[in-house]
Amino acid sequence: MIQHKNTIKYYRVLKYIFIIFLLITFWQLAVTTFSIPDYLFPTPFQVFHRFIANWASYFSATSTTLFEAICGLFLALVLTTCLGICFALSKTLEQHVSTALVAMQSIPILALAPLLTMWFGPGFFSKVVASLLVCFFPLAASWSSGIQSVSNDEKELFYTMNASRLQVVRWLIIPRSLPFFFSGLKVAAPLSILGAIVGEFVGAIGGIGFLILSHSYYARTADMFVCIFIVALAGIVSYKIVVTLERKIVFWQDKNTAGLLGK
Amino acid sequence: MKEPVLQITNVTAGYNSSIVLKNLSLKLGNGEVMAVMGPSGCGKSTLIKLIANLLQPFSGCIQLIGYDMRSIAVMFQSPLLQPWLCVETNVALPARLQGKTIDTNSLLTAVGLSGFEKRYPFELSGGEQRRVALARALAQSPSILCLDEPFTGVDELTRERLFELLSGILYNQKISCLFVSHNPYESVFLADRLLVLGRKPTTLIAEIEIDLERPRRAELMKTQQFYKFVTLAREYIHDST
Repeated sequence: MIQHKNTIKYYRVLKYIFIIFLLITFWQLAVTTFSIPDYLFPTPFQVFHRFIANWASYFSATSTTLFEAICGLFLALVLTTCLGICFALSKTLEQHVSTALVAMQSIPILALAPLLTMWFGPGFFSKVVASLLVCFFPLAASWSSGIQSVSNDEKELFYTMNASRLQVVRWLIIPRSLPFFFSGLKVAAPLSILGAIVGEFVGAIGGIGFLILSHSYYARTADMFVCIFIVALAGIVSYKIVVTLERKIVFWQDKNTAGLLGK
Repeated sequence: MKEPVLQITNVTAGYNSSIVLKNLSLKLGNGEVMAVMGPSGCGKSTLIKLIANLLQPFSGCIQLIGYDMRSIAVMFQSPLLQPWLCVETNVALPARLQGKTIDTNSLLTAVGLSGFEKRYPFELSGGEQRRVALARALAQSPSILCLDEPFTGVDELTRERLFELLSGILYNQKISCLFVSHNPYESVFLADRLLVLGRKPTTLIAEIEIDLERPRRAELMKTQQFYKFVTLAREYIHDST
């Protein structure tokens, strides 16, 4: 059985490698056949060459951006978890803050980024705040949905067990909300990188966003492609990390629990 | 009647402005098992909620004699187990919430689930999940146990085993029990007294003393005496609808 599972896994990996290989071949052929100038659309070989030539600067920029994104995401996690607990304790607060959150979400981060740079300077902190703001809404909304998913029967059961409100939050509402929280985190983790990059676009001294912007001034399209691939890869990796964590922590969510929930 | 532990006097209750129960009075004796039957929507579950203090009556009085609210445990229609907790932790939950520790092994043995400690609820059958819910209710060391159609959705054979198990536990531990049910077989098998409620707004329309011997075994359901009580209960329920 395990061997069969491994075979399926290898087959899937091989399939992805084959698809990527096909896409790269198609890209290479298209650029050479139509003689597209490299400042408009470089070949995969040129992109790879730029990556090898400048790997140290890419590594440094990626580390900067990822650190900003991780800090932003971490702060968003802490704040939204506290907010989630407050939501669980007070329905009125949830109703009022939800409206404010929707209003906040409708403001594009690109409009806020210059303000953040003015307030917090062009350094590390303004990118962290940009990343935090981008992650905040999906995480807060997921906590809110999770809290609403708790059935009255479950709450009543806890009251019959003489649980205090905080115990209801700790033993029922938070665990029950975790599947929703992870759905939000799957969106928020890649978004945190986007938030940091947008912050770097407006004013920075390092990071992937700063590199993209500076390469664009000199029409170094191949370098810009490298940056884009790094960002895409970082997004995929962050998503995969969240999925793995979700499988470990919320192992019970895919099981047949309909009868257990009182729904 | 035995000395009462629960007394409901002229209770009128419902939701918002709609009255479900009207001027209902009843007494539950110490160690007595009382079944409440009636048509759907007649307020059987409302009665459980009133006793468990999950709902306040519009008027009337619910009195616990010699006990407080902590002596009441409720088992709901669905098992409501926490899927992220193993069986052992689910059973120990009420004690853990009170900062106490309990011997979960003896409770699980009592409900026939010894060896299931580390399993998760999603690894159990419907009948096993209900046994865990029963063990969790017993973990509160209740003096009064309220059951709201506890065996709904369980197959016939498992249900009969659960009747026998519950009847034995209630008899051995001398727990007073009030349970609501749709099933006359279940009600007659478990109860010392059976109350039949009428349609909404609900009043008590019949009270049947079930003087079958205890402890009760599944074979009892094949006797003519048992069947006589089931027929009587059915007639009253039929009249109430």
